[in-house]
Formats: sequence, structure tokens, C-alpha cells
Amino acid sequence: MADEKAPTVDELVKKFQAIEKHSDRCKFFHDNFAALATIFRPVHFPKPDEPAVPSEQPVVTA
Amino acid sequence: MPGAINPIQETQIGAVAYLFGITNNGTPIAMTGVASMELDSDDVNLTWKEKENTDTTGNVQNLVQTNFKYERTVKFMPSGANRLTAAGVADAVFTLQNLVVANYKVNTFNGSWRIKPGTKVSLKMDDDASIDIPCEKYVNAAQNTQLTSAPING
Repeated sequence: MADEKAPTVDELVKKFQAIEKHSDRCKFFHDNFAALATIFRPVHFPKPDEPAVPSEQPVVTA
Repeated sequence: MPGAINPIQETQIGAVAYLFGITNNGTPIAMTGVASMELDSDDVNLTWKEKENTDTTGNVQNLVQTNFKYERTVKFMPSGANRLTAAGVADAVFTLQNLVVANYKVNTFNGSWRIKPGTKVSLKMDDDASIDIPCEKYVNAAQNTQLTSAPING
């Protein structure tokens, strides 16, 4: 099996920006966090299973 | 990508050459995550933190200087093969964490720049949209690498 060369940050960024659906883009961001988070701010790309706006979660009081 | 062609070089005549325009090193200037842009202006200044220590009469007898860094404001117009891709550039700049710049002829402008608060996209009636990004780069390479790395995850 031929060795697959790891994609460069530039290649990942181009792939990332070509993804149209935001939730797919978020998933791709977290699958490639180490590289893409050096370019893009994670707050714009929450993990798919995370609420987009945590402050809108109900407040639990004692 | 700045245009389909490299900027056409100006002609200079005289005893000395001036640095004119925003010039590249032979390869088009690139900013990772910014698919296409037309540079308008770019200012870098060197700064640092300075603490004055005084003697018993209040006169400065010592200066402590730390955190040498370049501060920059880059201004460009978003562009693209069509209006939709140009608009995509304007959206994308808000999501940038760092600005990774390559191919300036003045090498100090190249490298990884931490984006500071205040990225601005200006839409104007009867004019091109423009983008301003304030950013900084620490002179100490190791320090700059740390501060432009991926945020702590978890």
C-alpha cells in the first residue's frame, strides 16, 4: 500500500472552506482540530453534539 | 488571490530605487483562509512594553523592555471569481483565529499573526467592500509560535 501524504494546512483549509453545510464543516473542523484551529476560531465551529449557544441552556438552580 | 496576473511593475528612473506599492517576492501574496483579496494598505509597527525604574529622586535610571512585537493593520478588498465568492471571503474573515501570511517582498510582513479584537468588514454604498484586520506577531519566534498555536482543546 502506498504511503498517503498528510495534507498540508493549506489543503485542509481549502477542503474545509469548500464544505457547504455548516454542520459538516463543524465536524470536519473537529476531525482536523490541530491544524484548522491554528487558522480558524473554534467558537464559530462548535462540536456537532454541542449546543451552539450554551448560554441558552436552562439554568439549573439548587 | 490577488488578480489573475502579478502586479505590473512600475518604472523607476534615477540614482536610487524606492520601495513602491505592496510587492510580492515573485509569488502572489497569500493569506491562509482568505481565498481571494485585493490589498489596499498594510501597516506594521514595532512596539514593546516598557517599565521605567527610578532612583530615589524619581529620575529614570533603568528601563525594562519586554514583549517585543509587531502590530499590524491590513486592509484589503474581498474578491473572487464572482460576487458570491467575494461575499464568502467577507464572511470567512470573521472566523479567522490567526493570519498566516506569505510572499511579501518585505519579509517582516510574512509569518503567523495573532488576530486581535476588531476585525472589520465595511460595506459601502457606491464603493468596494473593505476589510480591516488588526493583528500582532511577537518578535521572539518561540513565543509567537505558542501564541498562534491551536487553542487548548478540552
